[in-house]
Amino acid sequence: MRYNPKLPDEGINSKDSTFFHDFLKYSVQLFATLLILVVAANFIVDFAISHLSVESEKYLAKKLHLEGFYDAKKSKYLSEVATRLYTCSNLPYDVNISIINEESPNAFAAAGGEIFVTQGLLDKVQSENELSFVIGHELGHFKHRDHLKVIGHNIIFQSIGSLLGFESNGGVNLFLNFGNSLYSQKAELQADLYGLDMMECAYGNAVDTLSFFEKMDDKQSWKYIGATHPDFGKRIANLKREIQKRGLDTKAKPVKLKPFY
Amino acid sequence: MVDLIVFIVLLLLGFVIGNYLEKRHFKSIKERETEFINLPTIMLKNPLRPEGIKSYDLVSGNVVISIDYFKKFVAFLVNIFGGNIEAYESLIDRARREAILRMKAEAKGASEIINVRLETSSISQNTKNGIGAVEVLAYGTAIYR
Repeated sequence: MRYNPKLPDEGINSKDSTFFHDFLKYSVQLFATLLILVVAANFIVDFAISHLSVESEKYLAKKLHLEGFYDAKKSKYLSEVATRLYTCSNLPYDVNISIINEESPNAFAAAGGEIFVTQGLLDKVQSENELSFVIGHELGHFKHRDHLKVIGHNIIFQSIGSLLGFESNGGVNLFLNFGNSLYSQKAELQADLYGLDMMECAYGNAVDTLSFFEKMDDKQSWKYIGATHPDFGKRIANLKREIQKRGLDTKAKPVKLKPFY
Repeated sequence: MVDLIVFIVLLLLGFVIGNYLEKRHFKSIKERETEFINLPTIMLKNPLRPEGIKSYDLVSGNVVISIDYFKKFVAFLVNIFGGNIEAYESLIDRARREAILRMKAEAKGASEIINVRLETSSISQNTKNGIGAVEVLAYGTAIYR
């Protein structure tokens, strides 16, 4: 018996490859699968929500006790401003707007027709028109029922994520977030246009519709890739286009703010 | 957005550096394999020639090789659809050959290594966030004549 020295054969146990091809192939496969899943699921959610009556929504929202949850306050003046816009919108919701004691400027529409604005936002607005536009924008969410769709979409994104064990994988989670943001950013732009409708109805002009966004614009549009809201530059451009198209007046004198409390 | 940048940077780092390190490692493995080619490494329990043995000793080599972010991501993708995770196969190959080479390096002056065994151990699996790594232990009896 003789020992026969020999080097290991190459290419049997491992492949000399950078696996970039595998990476591309499987990424495309996965993202195509996810895309189909997400689009189909979101379609079902949107369909279901458009068939959910406002009465059922109000009934369900009552059980959430949002007002207590946020420790929100009412303001007579704020309700007055909102009433004018609600009348314009003709939505089947009751005027229900409250203030949350929080510094960052924000406003959101919640289930059951409740609008919350933060104290930070009220400190930042300089005219009634600015404030009205923000409320008008939130009414747009009620009109398109985005406030419910967002919940549905989030549930879908998260359940698909956890079903496939994506919570452990940043990359795919990012993809899902990105998909979510596409839906959400489109809805925001539509709500902006609805806000403009409300301004046109309530004031007859588009004074100060852009000024609040201009104040908030940090000119860092890259930050908004994958975010729920589009960057302010895009929102301003979207509104400007529409204002020009409708030939709305932006030069008139804005309505002064009154004290909130 | 920051998450996305971090993810892409990690992926790129894994791809560029990981591939570079792997190429370099394979090159070094091949060089040392040629160097040690005349030291028989066999799995038989008994020496082929019982006569003339001066001494014998336990020799071992162990290695832990971590996967890079890129390979981990490729493996994750394959994991969904099923199939060979070829990206991991090169790691096993590297670890096995490296462990044997280290064992051979320890057996300086030996005429052969018999009763060679290969084992995988698992430290990394028990860590909380599951650091992906290949751990191979090779051991055998070095025969000195």
